[in-house]
Amino acid sequence: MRLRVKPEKGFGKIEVEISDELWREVKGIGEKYNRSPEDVLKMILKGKFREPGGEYNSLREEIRTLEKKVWELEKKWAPLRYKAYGVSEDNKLLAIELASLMAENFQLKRFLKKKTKASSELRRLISYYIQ
Amino acid sequence: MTMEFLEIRVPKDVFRELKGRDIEALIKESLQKAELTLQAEEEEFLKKKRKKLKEQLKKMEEEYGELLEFYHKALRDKKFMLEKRDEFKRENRELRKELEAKKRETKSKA
Repeated sequence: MRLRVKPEKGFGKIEVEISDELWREVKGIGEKYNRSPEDVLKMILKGKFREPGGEYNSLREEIRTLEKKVWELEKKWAPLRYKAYGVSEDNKLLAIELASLMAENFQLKRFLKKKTKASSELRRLISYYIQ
Repeated sequence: MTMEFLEIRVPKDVFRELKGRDIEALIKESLQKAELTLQAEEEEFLKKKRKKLKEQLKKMEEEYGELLEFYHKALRDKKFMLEKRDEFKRENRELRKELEAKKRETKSKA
């Protein structure tokens, strides 16, 4: 591999030959961290380095665990939503049926001159599911 | 035979310092430092990712909890409404019978 180094502005160049073995090492490091060999070489040429905090492996492990939890929750989510929707639809039909039964009950009691009793909880449920 | 070729541009001051140096040796001796730097950058990326994942998971757990609560409430409501429906059906049947009897009674009196 032939490497040519040039300044960002101005003239001049440095050309060097890099052995295949060294080039493979540079590429290997880049691939490990998802970076191009150019990025690795540029970093080396600029000479600006940093030290890791020693958490790399534990962070990767933690992220794997978190991703697994997200995935498991996603798997549980869809069937529950489907079931909840189904029961909610059943309740809507029940509420419609109940509204008509309550109206009939009210009429019958009126004809028979009986006292009517209104269940506020039931009325609230009916209006909630009919909405 | 084609020769592999790579061009890299660096800031002018860096270029000046590189002039006359053994670039291949520099690369060789800096490989480990470069790998550690990449690891440090990856750590930063992973920390941000961990933060986002934790936030996402928290939100999902809350929403899942709400959905579960909604489902259980809907099941309780269904049970309650089914009981009420049966009660009303039974009561209305009795009331209709009563009303029919009353109508017959009124008719026979007339």
